[in-house]
Amino acid sequence: MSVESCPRAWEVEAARDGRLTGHALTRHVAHRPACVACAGDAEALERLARGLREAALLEPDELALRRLRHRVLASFDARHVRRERRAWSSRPLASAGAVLLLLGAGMAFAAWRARALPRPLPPVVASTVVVATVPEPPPPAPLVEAVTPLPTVRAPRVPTAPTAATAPTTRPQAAEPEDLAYLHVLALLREGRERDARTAARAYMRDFPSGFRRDEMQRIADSP
Amino acid sequence: MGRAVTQPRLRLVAPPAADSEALARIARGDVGALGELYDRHAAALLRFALRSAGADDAEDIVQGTFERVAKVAASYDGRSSSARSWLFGIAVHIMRERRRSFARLSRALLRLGWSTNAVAPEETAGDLQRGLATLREPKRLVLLLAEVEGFTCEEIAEMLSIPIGTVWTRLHHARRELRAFYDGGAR
Repeated sequence: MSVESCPRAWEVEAARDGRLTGHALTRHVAHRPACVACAGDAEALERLARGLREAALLEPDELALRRLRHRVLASFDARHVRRERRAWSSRPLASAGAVLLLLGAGMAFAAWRARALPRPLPPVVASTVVVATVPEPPPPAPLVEAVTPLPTVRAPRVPTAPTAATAPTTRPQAAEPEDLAYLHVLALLREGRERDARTAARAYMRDFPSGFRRDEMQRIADSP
Repeated sequence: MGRAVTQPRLRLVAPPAADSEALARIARGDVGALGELYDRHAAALLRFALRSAGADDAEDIVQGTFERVAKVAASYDGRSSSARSWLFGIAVHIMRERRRSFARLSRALLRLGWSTNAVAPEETAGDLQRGLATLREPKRLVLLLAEVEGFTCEEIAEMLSIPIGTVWTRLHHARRELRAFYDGGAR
């Protein structure tokens, strides 16, 4: 029976390939068992497909599959290892780049900060600010009283000469009477006026019986 | 769809999620996942390659397919079916690439005056295989993918990046030529 004997023979292949849908497919399914040509054609197509599927000679053997599996996985491993190596070899470069980047960012930030932040006030102004904010120390009246008995010592020279200009602002605590008396003794010693220093030390012992420099003053007072 | 009319086919395919998950792991460098994918699909791929390209090239094609898979696993979009059709698509591409390079080599050899008999398509045992060898490759691939591997025409069209009408046409011509080969007394 030839395929051309049925005008609907083309439907066999169309149905097989999914070209027929819906009603057309239903009508073909109903037609085929009744048509020798279409049934024969369908059987021939199926036989052909079955023959292709059952070509036993071409079935891959298990050994070939295992051998191939080994090759595939080894190739993958080798590729992966190469990629890892590349990543490791480029890591120092990346680290150096990151360090340089951080340095650059740090420098840029420092430059920006230098521009953006207000410049520090001149020393004079800063001193003014400090003096204004720190509580005013008690007036040096006791010092005058303490120093007065020492006729050879002039009051302006009591602070150490090099720091006299900044003493009021940088060391406000120096205005304490005990400190001043101690500094006076030291100044006298530095000038080589040992006798006056001993006298001043005795004055310190008298004026500040519980002063925390008492031991040192006692040694000066008792020195020959 | 139409295939179900004549004979329902059993297609042993992995769950899509399993393939997707394996491919995601392959993309992360997991060799075990490649082994799993291989175990699921390699036999079918090798059988397909044996039938469509011959025993000499089949193993290289399958190896090339899985090597390509390892490279492009991250690009798998987890489409609705399993990765099977995606893998077969890659295998077909590998086959075409090999054929093109083979053709270039053949032309170069011919220009040098060499004979290309040594690299002519092999004739293997079995009339069917001989009949298949007479088909041009595009028709042979479509026929094998449809009739042996059980892909639908839509899947084949997507796999080969061709219109579905072209798949139908190639399939029709392939069947006709193969039947003519038989009827013409292949033996």
